[in-house]
Amino acid sequence: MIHWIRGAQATFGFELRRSLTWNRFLVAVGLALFPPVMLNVVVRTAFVSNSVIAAGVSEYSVFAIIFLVALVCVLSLLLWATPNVQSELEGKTWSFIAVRPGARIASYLGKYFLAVGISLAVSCTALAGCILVANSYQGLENPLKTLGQLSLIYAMACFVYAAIFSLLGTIFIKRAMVVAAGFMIGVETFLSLVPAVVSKVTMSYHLRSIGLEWIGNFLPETSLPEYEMAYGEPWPVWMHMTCIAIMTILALAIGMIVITQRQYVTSDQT
Amino acid sequence: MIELNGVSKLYKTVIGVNDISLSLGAGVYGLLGPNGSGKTTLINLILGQIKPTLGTVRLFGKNPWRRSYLLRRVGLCPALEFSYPRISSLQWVTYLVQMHGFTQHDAKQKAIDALKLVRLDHVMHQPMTEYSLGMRQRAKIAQAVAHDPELLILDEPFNGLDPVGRFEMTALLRQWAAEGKSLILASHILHEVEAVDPSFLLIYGGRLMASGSPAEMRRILANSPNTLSIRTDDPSRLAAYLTQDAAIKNLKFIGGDAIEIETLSASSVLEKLPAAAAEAGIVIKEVTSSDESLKSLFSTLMKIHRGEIETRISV
Repeated sequence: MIHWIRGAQATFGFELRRSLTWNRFLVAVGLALFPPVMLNVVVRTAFVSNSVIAAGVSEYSVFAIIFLVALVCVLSLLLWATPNVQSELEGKTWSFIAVRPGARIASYLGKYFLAVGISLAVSCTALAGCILVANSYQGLENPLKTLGQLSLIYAMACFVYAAIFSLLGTIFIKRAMVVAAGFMIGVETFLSLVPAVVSKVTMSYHLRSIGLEWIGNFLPETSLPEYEMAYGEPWPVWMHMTCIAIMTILALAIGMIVITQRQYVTSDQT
Repeated sequence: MIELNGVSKLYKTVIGVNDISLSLGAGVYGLLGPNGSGKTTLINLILGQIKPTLGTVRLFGKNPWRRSYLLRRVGLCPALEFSYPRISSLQWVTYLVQMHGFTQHDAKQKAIDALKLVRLDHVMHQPMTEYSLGMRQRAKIAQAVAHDPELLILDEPFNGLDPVGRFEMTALLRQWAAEGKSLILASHILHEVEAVDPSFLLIYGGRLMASGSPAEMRRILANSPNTLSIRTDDPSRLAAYLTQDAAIKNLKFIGGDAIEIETLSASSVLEKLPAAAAEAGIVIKEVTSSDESLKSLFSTLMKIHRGEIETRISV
């Protein structure tokens, strides 16, 4: 266990040092600035062109914030969590790491926490920017509280989706990012919107439900009674959190089993 | 230390190693084989990185698959070339030593010691992308020895080294062996491995073709079918003298001062040369073997293995 912790710490530090380049920094800044800039453009255009549309934009601003930041959060996780094994195999560094006691798991955990850390930092920065923009136009009721609540929801999203993407990265080496993107579209978007019990297995359902509980209704064109009719009686927040925590631990545990069981060999090692 | 019993490894329909059985105690071993012969697969099997399709592998008495704690006692220098932009050798080696469970402080000290050992300490803060191939090779050795393993496995460690680098590497490996530590040196070049004076393991086509001490290997080489070129002042008389030996399969005159002999046993021909010089007064100017390459030896061993040619040696 101590090997895993020290190894994960070492991997976190090493990978962070590797990532401190202007290129990666600019990508992170670009991702963090994209949602507030987009929100600003949309709201400003609406306000300038039509006051009726402006009222609509104001109404949907929280949804727009959540949608734009979620996009950036998922993109960041795809970039950081998914290629956990692929990057080592392609960089031909896997053989140097894997021949250390417990290093497969240590490397897996280290990269997982780095993906969570960076994606959360990007998401929270984007979130803060969006709330500043929204607040400057319409004056949110309690912007700091909204920021805190949404940050917590994004923290949970980062932990669970990073775990799922990391797991996919250990299974699908060459097409991990494509599979993970497909998973997000197919399962976490479409399946989570199916008004049936099956939607409850998706993490976006639980995250959405926590959001509805904390922030109130942010879903456009839908009232809460309608939502409850479609998806059933709401669960208490702690139950949604438990589901997210179980999925995070399960995905991490399966990923750890897969990474220790699989025979990863780089193409020129025969 | 290492034991393999009937080990085969298949990559789908491609055979990595084929029915290898061997038992290695502590010591220095040269794993010799042409490129693609299965050396790296064998190393990966020994280290539990891949699972044998058939047979059993034991490292320090235990199955290495899923027992990664055994790797604490092993250092590996793979043949792979890699590049970490902006990362210095000190940062890289420290990181890899930390993966053994050492604290950052201890890992850094061990990394510095290892980099001093391979004489890279003067550039250890520079990015590895600025290193020459030989310097990167030495950094790879440093990460393998930094945690002070009992067994060091080096896969093609002489790749990319200039003559000075090769000499230094050989000295380093000799020093390692002199300290009583175990070493497995995988290479496709005979003389590089020979310099460390190891016991040999000859692998070809995924099969272990022969194993033994340097003397035994020399005997195998000498007693294997071979082609010798001999420059002399009197080729006709030398040919007549040597053809009394039944081991000669074929004899050709090359130019005016040399003969080429195809023989089943080079040693039986070589043994006759001093007598030819002493008794018949023939001047022997030069003896070369055109079949000295490792590939030719392996080809011969493969033929012996298949029973295509007879030999008086056992492999």
